[in-house]
Amino acid sequence: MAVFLLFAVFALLLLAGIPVAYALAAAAVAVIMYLDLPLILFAQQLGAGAGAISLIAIPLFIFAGELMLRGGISERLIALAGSLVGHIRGGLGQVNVLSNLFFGGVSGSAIADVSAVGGAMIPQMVKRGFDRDFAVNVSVSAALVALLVPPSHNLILYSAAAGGGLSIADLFAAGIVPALMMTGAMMITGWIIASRRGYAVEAFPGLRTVFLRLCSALPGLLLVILIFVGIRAGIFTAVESAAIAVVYALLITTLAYRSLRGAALFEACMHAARTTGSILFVIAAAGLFGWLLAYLGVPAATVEALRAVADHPLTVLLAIVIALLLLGTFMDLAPLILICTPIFLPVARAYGIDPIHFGIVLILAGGIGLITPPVGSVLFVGAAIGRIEVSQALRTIWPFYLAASAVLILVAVFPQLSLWLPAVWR
Amino acid sequence: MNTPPIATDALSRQIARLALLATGAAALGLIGMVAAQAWQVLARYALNASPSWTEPLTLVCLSTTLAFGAAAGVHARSHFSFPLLVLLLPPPWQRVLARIAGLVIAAIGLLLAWYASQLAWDGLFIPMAGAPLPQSAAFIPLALGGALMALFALAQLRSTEEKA
Repeated sequence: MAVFLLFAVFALLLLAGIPVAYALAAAAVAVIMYLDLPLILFAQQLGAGAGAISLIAIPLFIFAGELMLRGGISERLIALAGSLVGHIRGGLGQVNVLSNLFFGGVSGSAIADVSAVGGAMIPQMVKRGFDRDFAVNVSVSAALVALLVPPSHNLILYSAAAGGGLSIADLFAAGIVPALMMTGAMMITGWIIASRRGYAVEAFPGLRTVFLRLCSALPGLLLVILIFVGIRAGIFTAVESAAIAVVYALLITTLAYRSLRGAALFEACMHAARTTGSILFVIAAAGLFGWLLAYLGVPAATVEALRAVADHPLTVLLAIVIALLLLGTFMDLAPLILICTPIFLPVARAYGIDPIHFGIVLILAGGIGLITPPVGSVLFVGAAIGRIEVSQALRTIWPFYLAASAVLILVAVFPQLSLWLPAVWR
Repeated sequence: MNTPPIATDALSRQIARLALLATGAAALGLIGMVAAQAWQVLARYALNASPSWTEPLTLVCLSTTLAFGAAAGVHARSHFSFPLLVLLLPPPWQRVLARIAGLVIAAIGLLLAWYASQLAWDGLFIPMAGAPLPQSAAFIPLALGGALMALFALAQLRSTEEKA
């Protein structure tokens, strides 16, 4: 009954338009009162939910992303992507995908990322003659590429939700091949659609331009490399790497590029603070919700329930993927990771599925859920930016959706795709 | 992310100022986290020392950013929600649900303010391991942030009622 109450109150409040964090917290309060537990547990577990040391990396990566976006680092990375792939059919669509690979999810929320990056890319694509539905679909699908690339923090969140015992360096390494596969799948899909629709091809700007833009964007690329190498080599922890990323982005944007000063720097800090506060509160509330799930024995019950109906690890993994795709349609990725990891990871472990591999599958499935027709939340944000009806985007998003699903299935079925690189680098 | 609403009357202007202060406090928390962690790296490699205070201080800064940033998010209406079904309802129902949302946020804020204050008071005179701070320092911003969340939610309810 308590489990039903927890999920029912949460779902009702969410559907009533109450923000995710408050819906999670209110559902937890309802169950704490129902179980006659002391209400002080609410504040205690909420504080504990955001108090894990590994979570500190998240606000700092969001801050670094904000500085990159406002200080011109992202702009230069987009320019580099433009010179590399802008001449391929699909032009800015290809640039959009590659840019997401270069600088990852900048804001900490897939929904906010599409608002930030799509807000810049979609109008430009429309201006250059691309149909609005193509511009929207390529932007929301390209956000999937960013899920696994630093400074996107999804893997850190997964590590924390898994109890903090998983190596963040291994998780980052495990995300590289799936991220590259998703990049390839989205670029090929974009190319096919662009060819069919007969979009114009832009001229190759020449190797000199590519070289100049590479030089200009090098500090931004080095930031991602710094994070990877720093953690992998044990020079600093994930949390320290995030702080170094902020200092580095600050030095580059204020001293080298001289693009972020005075009022703009102040505004970047204030915007990052507001965004971070909202996301951290979701994380804290999801921590409270997750604690109640564990208290009510939901993870163990899920393992038992799945054992009764499935006996092969792959069957279980696919069942979890379907559940995640459905949940992802109405929940942003951060709460999805925090709520689903404690429930599904014990199931995965019970069936001998590697937790690193499972984390990559979980994030990909949750991310695809965000663009799943007809109610994927990122899809709605993209359609609003592109000023089209969601139904218009839905009619033509299927190729991107199928391509993303194909990558997900490949990554789920072949664990080597995510586990090979961590093993090589270990 | 939405931009904060424009204040029209005196009370709304005071609330807007308070929201700006809350955002500023959250930003200071963010800068504090960066400074503490960057110092940890610098001290380890340049001074050959690992200060113990950086981790507890960072957690207090994290709590500050969380609580004040989330409160500012209530004022700016920038918390993530799923308004799809609400938008399909007729306007009178939308107003009812907006009131319920405001009340739920205010109630959560008040609960957080009340119980986080209790936790903060309980550990106020116990020293924190590793840093010269009270053990319950992280709960102080949570209590203040909770109160601000309730205040901003109630102010929004008031403006919704006035518009209706």
